[in-house]
Amino acid sequence: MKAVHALVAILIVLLALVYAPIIAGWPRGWPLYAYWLLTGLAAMAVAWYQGWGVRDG
Amino acid sequence: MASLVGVFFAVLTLYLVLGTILAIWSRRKLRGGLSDYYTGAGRLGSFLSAMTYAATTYSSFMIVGLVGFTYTTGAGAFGFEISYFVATMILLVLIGKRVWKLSRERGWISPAEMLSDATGAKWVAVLASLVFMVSLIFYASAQLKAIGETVAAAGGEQYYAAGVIIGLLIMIIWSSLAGIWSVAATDALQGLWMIGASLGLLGWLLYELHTGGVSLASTGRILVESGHLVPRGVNGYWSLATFTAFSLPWIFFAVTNPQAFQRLFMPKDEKALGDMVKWFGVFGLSYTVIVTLIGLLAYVADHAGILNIGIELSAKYADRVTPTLLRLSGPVLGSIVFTSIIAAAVSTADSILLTLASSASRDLLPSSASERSRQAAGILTIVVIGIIMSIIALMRVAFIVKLSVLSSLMLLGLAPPMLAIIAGFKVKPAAAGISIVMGPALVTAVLISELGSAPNPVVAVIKTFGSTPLGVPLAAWILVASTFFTLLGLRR
Repeated sequence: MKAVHALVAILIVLLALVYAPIIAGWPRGWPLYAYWLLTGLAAMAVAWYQGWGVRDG
Repeated sequence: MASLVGVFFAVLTLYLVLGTILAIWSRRKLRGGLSDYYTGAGRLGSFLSAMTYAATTYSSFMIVGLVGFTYTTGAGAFGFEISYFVATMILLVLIGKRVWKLSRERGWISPAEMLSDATGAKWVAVLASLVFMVSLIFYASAQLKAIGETVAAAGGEQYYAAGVIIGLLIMIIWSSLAGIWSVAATDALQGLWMIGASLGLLGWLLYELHTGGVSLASTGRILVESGHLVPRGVNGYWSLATFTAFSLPWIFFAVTNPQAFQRLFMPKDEKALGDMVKWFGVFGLSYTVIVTLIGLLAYVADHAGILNIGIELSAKYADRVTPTLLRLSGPVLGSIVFTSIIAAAVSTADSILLTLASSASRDLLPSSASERSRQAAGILTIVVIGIIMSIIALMRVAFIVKLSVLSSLMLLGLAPPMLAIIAGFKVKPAAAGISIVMGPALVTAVLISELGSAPNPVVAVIKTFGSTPLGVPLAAWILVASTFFTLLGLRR
């Protein structure tokens, strides 16, 4: 159950991070593209850490 | 030099022949029975599971809509697509294994069976199936229209209707030959075609920019000055309200869209399920990056005078960008990418057809119906819905595509009861039913009010999608209302 709560919290944080540039109006240029790409990669990293959702515990 | 028309029809024929050979070959896997026909009886391996999930999820919107959207409005289009990707990856990790396990234990075939199982009321599954059909018929019709438009753009205007009919026949043949086995096998071909073609287009654009003397630094400067690499986008298009209207309905796609949810029933073991999530992630993130880079770099090439695309930076012209770009890319590359649009549309729409057929055969028929009549009902559903789709597509009005974007909003009300049930709660049937109809009910109410003031139906639909009653996006209203009724009916 702890893992579920942690994943829900991570999901909310990652989505907030995706929204952040729209609210803050920053960064600009290729760093903006790289930033959004990093949030996608972060989701991949979380999924990998969780064994792609099939590891017990 | 070969013309685009001749090469396009040759490449299209190659695609149709390869896909049909695969669909016929996949019949060897078919063992019989409804479970095997619709979900492969949970026997799909890693490769097929991953490719069918990816190709079904990513429709023709990516290479047509998203390229054009990025070109006309900026990187905010990448941001909203990333919000979908992030949510889907985490949701798959959260619910994938539980849904997969429950589907095997409970013998679910159609996506709505989870609802009737958990509420103890068959009518909830019937209601959900009807919502699936109403919501997805326009989405699937828009895919068929995209095929007609692609054939018309590459082969000539006179081929629009032929494109729609060929698309319909292919969807019916590939989905009915061996059910999910032929759909998954052709999805694998189509997914590889989609990503290969988009990579080719990106490579060509990079080559053109390189030979045109445009450096990475200067692309950044051009894109910042135009507003493409600024968070709020070109002409401030990506306001918080617009970004929310685009991203919120798609966040729960993995749960609310039956063709995606049903794919969680299919992997043969835990390894295949994990591989499905992993390779969907690799495919999805790569495809999103490739497609949005194409949109951004196409603008730079136009701005630098390397390619004469000449499309005004307004979202309403977004769908013109890819066809224009492909006509400039030469007959071979253009034909391969034009065909990839058809592949993306077919892989999404035939999966929807098969899922709706599973709903009809499992949820809409009485419990006493025989296996034979259920199979007949499934095939009949594929044909009837296919014909309705083609009639809608042949009308060739922009209204259809706009209406299809409302599908995600209409399905959004399913998220709270589905997630509650997956989490192990019981939901009272009435509460689940009201939650499920929240999407169609609120969308219809807002659409009717917009139709009264908008100059035409297209504008009314666009305004409905972006509407913010009392300052809150419609998607949020649907989620809040549906969550409220689900919570009211919650029991352990």
